[in-house]
Amino acid sequence: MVERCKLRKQIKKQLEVLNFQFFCVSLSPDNLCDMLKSLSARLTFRIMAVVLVMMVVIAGVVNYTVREYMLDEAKERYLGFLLENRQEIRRRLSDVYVAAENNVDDIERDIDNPDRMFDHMERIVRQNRPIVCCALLFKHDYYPSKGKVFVPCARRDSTDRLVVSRIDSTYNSYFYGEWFQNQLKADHGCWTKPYFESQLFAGDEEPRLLTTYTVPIHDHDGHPVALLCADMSLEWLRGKMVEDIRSINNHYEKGCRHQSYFFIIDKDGNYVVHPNKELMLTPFDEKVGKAMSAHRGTCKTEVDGVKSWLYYRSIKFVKWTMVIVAPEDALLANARGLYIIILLVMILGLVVIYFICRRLIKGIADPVAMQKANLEHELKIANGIQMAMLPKTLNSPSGAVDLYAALTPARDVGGDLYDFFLRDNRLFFCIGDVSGKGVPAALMMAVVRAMFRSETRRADSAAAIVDTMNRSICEESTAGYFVTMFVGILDLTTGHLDYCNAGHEQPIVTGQPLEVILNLPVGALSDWNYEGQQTQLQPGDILFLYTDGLSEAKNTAGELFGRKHVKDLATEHTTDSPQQLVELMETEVHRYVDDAEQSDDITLLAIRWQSQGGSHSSRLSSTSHLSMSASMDDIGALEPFVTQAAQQAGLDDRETKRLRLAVEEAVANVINHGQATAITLLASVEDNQLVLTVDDDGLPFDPTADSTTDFTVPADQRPPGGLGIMYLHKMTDGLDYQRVDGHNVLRIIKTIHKK
Amino acid sequence: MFKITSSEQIGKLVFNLVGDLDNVASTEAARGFEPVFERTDCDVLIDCTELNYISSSGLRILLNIYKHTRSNHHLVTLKGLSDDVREVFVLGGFLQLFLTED
Repeated sequence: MVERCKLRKQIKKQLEVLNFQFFCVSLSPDNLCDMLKSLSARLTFRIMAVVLVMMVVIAGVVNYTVREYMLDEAKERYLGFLLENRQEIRRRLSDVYVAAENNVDDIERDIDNPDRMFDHMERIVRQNRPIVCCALLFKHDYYPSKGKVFVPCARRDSTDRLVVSRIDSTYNSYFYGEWFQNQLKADHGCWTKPYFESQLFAGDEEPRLLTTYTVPIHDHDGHPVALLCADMSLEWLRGKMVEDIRSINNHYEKGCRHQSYFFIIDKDGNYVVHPNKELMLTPFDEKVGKAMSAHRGTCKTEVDGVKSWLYYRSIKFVKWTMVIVAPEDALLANARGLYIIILLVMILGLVVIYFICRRLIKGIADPVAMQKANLEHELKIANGIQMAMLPKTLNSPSGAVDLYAALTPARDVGGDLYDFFLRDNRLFFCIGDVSGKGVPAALMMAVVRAMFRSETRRADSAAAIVDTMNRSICEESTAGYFVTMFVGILDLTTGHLDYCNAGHEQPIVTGQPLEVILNLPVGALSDWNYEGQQTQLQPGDILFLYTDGLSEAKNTAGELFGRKHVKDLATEHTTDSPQQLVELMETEVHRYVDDAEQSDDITLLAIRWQSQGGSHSSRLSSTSHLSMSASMDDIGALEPFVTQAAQQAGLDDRETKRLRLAVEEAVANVINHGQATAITLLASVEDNQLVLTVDDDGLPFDPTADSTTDFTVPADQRPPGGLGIMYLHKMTDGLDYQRVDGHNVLRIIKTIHKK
Repeated sequence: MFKITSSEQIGKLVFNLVGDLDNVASTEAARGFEPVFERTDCDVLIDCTELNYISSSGLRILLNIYKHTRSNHHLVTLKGLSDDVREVFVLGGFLQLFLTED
């Protein structure tokens, strides 16, 4: 009674676990999913926001750095350009200036000879390439013989020919006005503002831009009497600059709407040199002029409505300022390209991060789903272990029964079960199917099997077993699970079958369906009175049991395998061994199902009963069995049992003693070392062999394993132990050991020699 | 059934074993052989003429007697071993420990 209570408690605990699992599994409906979805979306959003902010900051920094770098580089480039051009301009200016100054003394020496002046002019122009025209402007009436105005002059014409002439008429009163007087008074030479040459000289050509160096010429008394004017063309400067700038434009500012350009302004703010000829000698934008405060440097301003950088440098001597106007767009054209590439890479990175985030977060943010998957995985493993523990074959000592079972689980953990074992020369077996699938069904299956094992220890009829199981499950389970079951007890001696069918598929006995009462499934109704049935098997009868996984297997078209199909197959193969029959059914159903997914567990169990006929076994019958506790107190029962079995089997006195020694050593070993509680002995005769089966529930121990002790060594000189096992080997004709269902099953075989 | 009786001759303890010396009988046998372990000055003669059966538990008792007696430089003699019992001694490597006489 106490034991029964304990069992109840155990079952209750298992069912509580079962209910909890059921609760957990049913708790994952849509609202939970939504919650997880929004959680994952929120997480993704936050991460993306942080990444986005970081990227914006990085983009800003990169933009700033690249921009600064590009501007620095442009500044370097243009200031270098300015420096180079300034040198060139200064060189040219100084050529003209030196030529003029050097000739002043020569001219002054010949001041009394007006005709010599032509020679001087001619020489100056001939010897100095940069000077396009050289003239002497004498004061009015200086040489009375030459008239009021005397201007000797030498110049190159458009064909590069040297022309010496008087150009009195071109010098109007303007030249002899205030400007002339001021220049005369100055005691040093100076440069005039640039100007376009007179149309008279230019002829059909476009007038050239010129600048003139003027030096006063003195008479012998030191009074200034004339101005030496050396003209230098600025056309070369314009040409060179346009070309240089073009090469810069092509190199750095290709395709820009506004490109850099270069000009020179004089000290009054007029354009001296400008790529646009029309703008020459026109005033320069005053506002822009003010921005250039120092004599060289960089400033940023707006020129003609275009944001531009100005690079400028003054030329001290002539008081000109060279200016490069570089539109910002043009300067940053390359930077922009670089920036766009960086930005594109960043956006790509952002997209990649987004997808990675979503994937990772989906994995992480689904803890419940993961736990569930884990749980299912673990239960599947547990289920696998459970399956592995199911007995596969029965080691029938008497050979009265041949049995084979197979369970093919579906993809999900399922709830099929079967079990069988021998007790008191009776075969207890069951097959069942827990309603539903998945985790709860698998747990339920474990519970039901444990119940079957424990109930069969005390109950003696199939109906009683089912009845007790039903009440236990109904009392403890609120999950509403039930089990269809078939429980049978087969007397191996007589072939009498006591069975109880609880809503299970009808078994087939040698091609004929076994008549069954329609009981409710176990666990459906607590006060249902299960009714058992009896039948007598004939020797050679084969009992085939299966679960609805077989009869309700569906092919790809959704058609059922069908009970009739099962029955027909069973009818056609009544002479097959249980293993053959089970394997045949498996093959057939697999062929039928083909590519369709197996939706339910398929469990098959086949049992063939053989009459325990023959002269030897008839003599053994009921006395062939001995149950004893695993204690030396009970060992006295061994000798009469073994001796009787041996004598009945026809062994002589010597062989009887030898068998007795073997069995005694085996049992003593179990008692001394096995920690067993019960030992069952069974004697049977198979062909011409007497088989004594020792079955115990102790620690696993295989006495048939090889021993390392050498028994030819005198007993006092070798390690103790192993002696009994040695006798077990020496005194018998064969040993067979199996660990079956938590039991050690040792078959001790003795050959019977006919007298 | 097992029975053990003992007597003392000059310089020699004599035991007479009757029946089956198996696990059941081992306790009784051990008690019967106690005089051996109280003495250090004599040989031991075990009469096995009427010994029907012996198992390893019996052999262990005889091994202990042998060890005790030998350590005192005395001898253990087995008398009248039947073929069946002799086989058990031989297989276990016990016969060479003892003197035997018919």
